[in-house]
Amino acid sequence: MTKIPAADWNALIDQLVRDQVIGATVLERGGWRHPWQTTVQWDGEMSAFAAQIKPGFIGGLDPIIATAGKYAPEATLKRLGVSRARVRSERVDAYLTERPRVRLDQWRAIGRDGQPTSQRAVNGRAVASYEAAPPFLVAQGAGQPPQGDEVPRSGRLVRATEIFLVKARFQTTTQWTFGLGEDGTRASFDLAFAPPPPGSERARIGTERATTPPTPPDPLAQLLTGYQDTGQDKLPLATVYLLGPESAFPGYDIGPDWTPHVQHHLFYNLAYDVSAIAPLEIDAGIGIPRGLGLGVADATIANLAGRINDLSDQLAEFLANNRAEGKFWTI
Amino acid sequence: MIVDLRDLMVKPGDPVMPAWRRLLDWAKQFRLYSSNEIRLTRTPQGTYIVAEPSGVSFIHPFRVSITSSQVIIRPGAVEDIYPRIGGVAIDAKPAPQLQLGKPNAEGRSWVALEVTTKDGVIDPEDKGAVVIRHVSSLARTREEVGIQPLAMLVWSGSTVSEVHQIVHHSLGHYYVRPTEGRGGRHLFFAV
Repeated sequence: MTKIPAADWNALIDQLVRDQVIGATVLERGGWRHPWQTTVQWDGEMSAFAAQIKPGFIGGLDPIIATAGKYAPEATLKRLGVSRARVRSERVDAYLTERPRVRLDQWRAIGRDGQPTSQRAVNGRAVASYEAAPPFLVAQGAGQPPQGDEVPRSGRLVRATEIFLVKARFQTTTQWTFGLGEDGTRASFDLAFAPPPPGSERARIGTERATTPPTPPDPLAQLLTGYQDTGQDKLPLATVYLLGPESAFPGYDIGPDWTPHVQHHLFYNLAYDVSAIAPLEIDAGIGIPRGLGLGVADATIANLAGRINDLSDQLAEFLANNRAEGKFWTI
Repeated sequence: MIVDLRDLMVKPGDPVMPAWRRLLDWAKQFRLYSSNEIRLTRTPQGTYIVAEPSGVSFIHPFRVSITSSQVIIRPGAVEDIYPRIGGVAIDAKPAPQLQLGKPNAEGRSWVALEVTTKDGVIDPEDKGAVVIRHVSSLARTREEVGIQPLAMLVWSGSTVSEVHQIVHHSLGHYYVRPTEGRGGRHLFFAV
């Protein structure tokens, strides 16, 4: 071969241009880096922004990040005793101390071109609410969200995503048992606690487009047979913002010319404990006469309703006191 | 690696391919790599560098560091009691030395605080009630014993390659008495 292909020539030029240093900042205060400190940068291999998190611990163990085998750290592959070629297209569990990269690809638009987060009626008109960009991005030129019908035409675009921790624990399930008691048919309300799946000692780190706060238990549903809570506790770790380039317009793709900013929600390692775990399959022992079927003849409807309400309150209180619920605290 | 740029020069009539390969080799040295302390923002126009050198370290209770010959643990207290290593309190001069054992199968171990309670409380007169040990498992051995890891050690073969600090404060301790179907729990918290 005596010719240099144009593609090779251009690739060389492209590389030289990209690796040309156009500026540098040296931060004077290279201070203490706290657990969970998150660094975000454009990852050429992933063609996406990726986060690296300084190892933090829950209960003395570093959490797991599920990552594509092709991006897994060497230390993870070594620990698992597998080759990259074998797990290339699989998901592998990397420990945080193995320094896996977290691919960030679930972005929501906020500020200037954000989507409405809620709508309410004011004087018969639908008024939308938007998530505003945080003040430290507004100070750098981030656009404000639409006000009423007025859509802003200037301001830098902002994207955001959430990194969270989740810890599996015992899952509370409810069950009614019906049988014959001394005074006729009785119902028993039982609580059972299903153990978390094997390998759940460690918490996990995940990403999501927007924070989804835990749904409060439905007071009616939790008194029915087969109700299950989530069986996990979740904690926000960091919110990552991307500030678009000055020239970006709505619909502009995320790329290396966006600037990442991290807002941390955790700064120390954590301990974790579950508030209540009764023995598995425990019979909570609340017996309820089934009045509607057999007792209707000797009680008025109002009486029955009152009794049922009282029992419902008792059950709700019993559930609140016995539901498995995890707590995190600083260690 | 090409050091003298004149090595890249050619004369009329020289074959182009060897010169092209030398040019590629030369260009490779300009690749920029990020690290824990160097962040890169790549743009079509070039790369912006932010350097954040690690400088000030946080001197805190129970800080664990390892040199080639010894484990250093800065003094920290549990319920105002200084833990002991081999019967000597960790605030003594000279400080007692912790002997390292072996890691677990995943190449990890912990420098851990171990408290032993009597009727749910730590006896301050008991010199063995609060100790620091090196353990390869966080499993408790006895009901009255609580374990709080201070730092995780990551091993490379037979040597410690990384120390990850877990506790950054002096600690309080609270014992939750056993209930039906559930053993007692030792809860540690920052004070």
